[in-house]
Amino acid sequence: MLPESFDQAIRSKLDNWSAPVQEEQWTNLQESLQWQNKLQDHVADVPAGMWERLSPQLSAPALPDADKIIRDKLYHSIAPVREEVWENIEAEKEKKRRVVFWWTRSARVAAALLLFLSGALVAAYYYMEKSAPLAQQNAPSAIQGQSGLAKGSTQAAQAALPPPDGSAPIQTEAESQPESETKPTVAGPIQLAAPENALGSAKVYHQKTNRQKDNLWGEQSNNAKGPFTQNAYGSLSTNNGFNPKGSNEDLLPVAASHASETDASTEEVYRLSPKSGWALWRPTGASLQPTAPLNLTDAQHANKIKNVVICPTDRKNRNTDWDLEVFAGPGLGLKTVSSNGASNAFLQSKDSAESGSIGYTVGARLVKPLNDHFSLKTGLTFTQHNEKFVYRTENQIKTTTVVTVRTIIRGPGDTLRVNDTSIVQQAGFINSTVKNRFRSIDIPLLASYRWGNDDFSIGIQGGLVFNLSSWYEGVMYDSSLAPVALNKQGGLLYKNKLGWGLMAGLQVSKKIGYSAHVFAEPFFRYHFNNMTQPGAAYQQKINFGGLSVGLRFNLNNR
Amino acid sequence: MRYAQDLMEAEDMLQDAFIKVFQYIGQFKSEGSFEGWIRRIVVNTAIRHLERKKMTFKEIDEQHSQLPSLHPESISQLGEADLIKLINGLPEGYRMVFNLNVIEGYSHDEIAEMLNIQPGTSRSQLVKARKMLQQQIIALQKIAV
Repeated sequence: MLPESFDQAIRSKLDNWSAPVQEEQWTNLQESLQWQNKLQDHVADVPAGMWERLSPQLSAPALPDADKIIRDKLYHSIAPVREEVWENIEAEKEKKRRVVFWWTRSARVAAALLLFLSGALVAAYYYMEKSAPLAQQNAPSAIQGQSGLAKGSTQAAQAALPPPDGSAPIQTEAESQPESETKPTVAGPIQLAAPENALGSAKVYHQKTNRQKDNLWGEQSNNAKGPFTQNAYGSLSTNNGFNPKGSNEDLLPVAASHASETDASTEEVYRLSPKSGWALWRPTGASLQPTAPLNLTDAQHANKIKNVVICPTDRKNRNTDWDLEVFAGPGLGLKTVSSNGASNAFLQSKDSAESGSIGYTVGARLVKPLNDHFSLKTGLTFTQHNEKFVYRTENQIKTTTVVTVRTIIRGPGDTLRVNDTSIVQQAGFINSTVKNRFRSIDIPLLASYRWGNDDFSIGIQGGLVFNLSSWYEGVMYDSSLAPVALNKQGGLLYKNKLGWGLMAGLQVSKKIGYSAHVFAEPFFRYHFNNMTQPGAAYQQKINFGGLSVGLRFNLNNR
Repeated sequence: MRYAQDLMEAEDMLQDAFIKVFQYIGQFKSEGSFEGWIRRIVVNTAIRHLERKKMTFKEIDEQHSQLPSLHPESISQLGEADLIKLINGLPEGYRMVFNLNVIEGYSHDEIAEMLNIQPGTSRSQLVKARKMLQQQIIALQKIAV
């Protein structure tokens, strides 16, 4: 049988069939309809205060008149103010008048670095200018250097020294003499002269010498009673009989004003300095013979003579030194964030929750100077960038038990004490502050160029930085703005290797020991790549700038 | 004094507010009352002060039985100083909303914008504040009696 035929058969049988209904059912239905009609317009009374408990937003003000009374009482109420408050306001007004221009964070760092560099450059320039005449004065003493040399070559060497002020070469006493009186000679006792006006009580000694015009290798003349005696081969020996402090029959004290009028045989002028322990020194220029008389104290005179000998290096073209630098210092991370699909609300929340704070960098570098100026550096650097993360946790409940004690005195001897105990539950939010840390280990490959000398120098350096490893620890927002912890292993958002970057900086160094220098180094490091994974909702990069201070040690056994 | 916990805090708020008044006085346009302009600055300064203290809007659930109703006459009999003391006894959120709505006359929408809360929170805080004040006034009356 087909299904359609079956359906038709059943339908035809049951079409007009109806089930019997009991009489009670109609009665019940009618009663229900009557009740419905009765209750349709009925409204139940609501107890007082129920609406307040059920729906505070819908309740009308409990006592509108009370509000008005309170407002009228308190709107114009005045409280006395102490005189000091107005004085403080005046003082603050004066302070605010000064215009303070706050730079952005990165500009502040740049301004601080610029200020430091300017000061260092000015100090270096001043130092170099000041040390130039002293370098001439402290040139190796002519006493030994000139033994065995021809007078002409001596004078030529001295004339070749540039005067400190760049004027015409300084003429020695011998040069200033008439040419006809200037005779070449090799050996000869040294004349001692010390102008009184420059060195206080120093005495001027003049010793005549016999010139040996024809025999360059002749014996020295008699009556040579200076402190040194020079033999035929040019070497010097001390004269035991010489006593600069006492009188000497062979020595003729000469007034300083006549020092220039000494015998024409005078070729080399050395001076004794009682203030320097009777050391012999040879003035090379006019800078130590001022036109105006100077009365220098011992301290002033000592300050004119450097206690560090600056030797020209022999490393102009080939340098075999190796140095080690160790350094540490504070720094500040400069963060840049851009959206990669993140919503504006997320980026704004992230920006307001995170704020950078001072970090630091430490490291060590091996330095290979190629010559006096140029050197290469590599090593290991550890950097930590710190960040404050403030977030809010909602729906925190705090339960407090409050006991209120009231004492009511109704009359003499009639005191009522009422204790009210209530439980107070406070629901609110808590602001939490967490310190986030971003750490990285890098290998710098730098080249540097220095100006200056072994004692003080300023240099620039720059190069590549390769990130070995980096990791981020702290708290951050997820996409639903809920705080989640991020630990070292969480590499899903932040990369563990950032690749290459650039570093540039300056270095100001000062010698503090035989093979040690101290240096200060403002620097800036820039990363090429973002620290976030490519698929992250935002791209973030932290560049780092700071000021390191360190020590450089020479590793050669000098 | 209605916004601060004590005199020192009130003086700090007043000092900061008047510094701003002197700083921005050039921007005052003579469109409204000068007193109203200063009042607005003082109120905003007080709000910023309390925000720095991390003011919270808590819903205090007190387990008290139904209170008898309070007649407005009872409030008229209270002095200013007593009223201010009662208002200062309110929790921070209650006090702030009560001051802004009842005394300063701001609407709940304006209060919500100023305090960075929902208008509903403002309304519920006000209701709670009124209730608490009523309780305190009734308690005072009992003592007086």
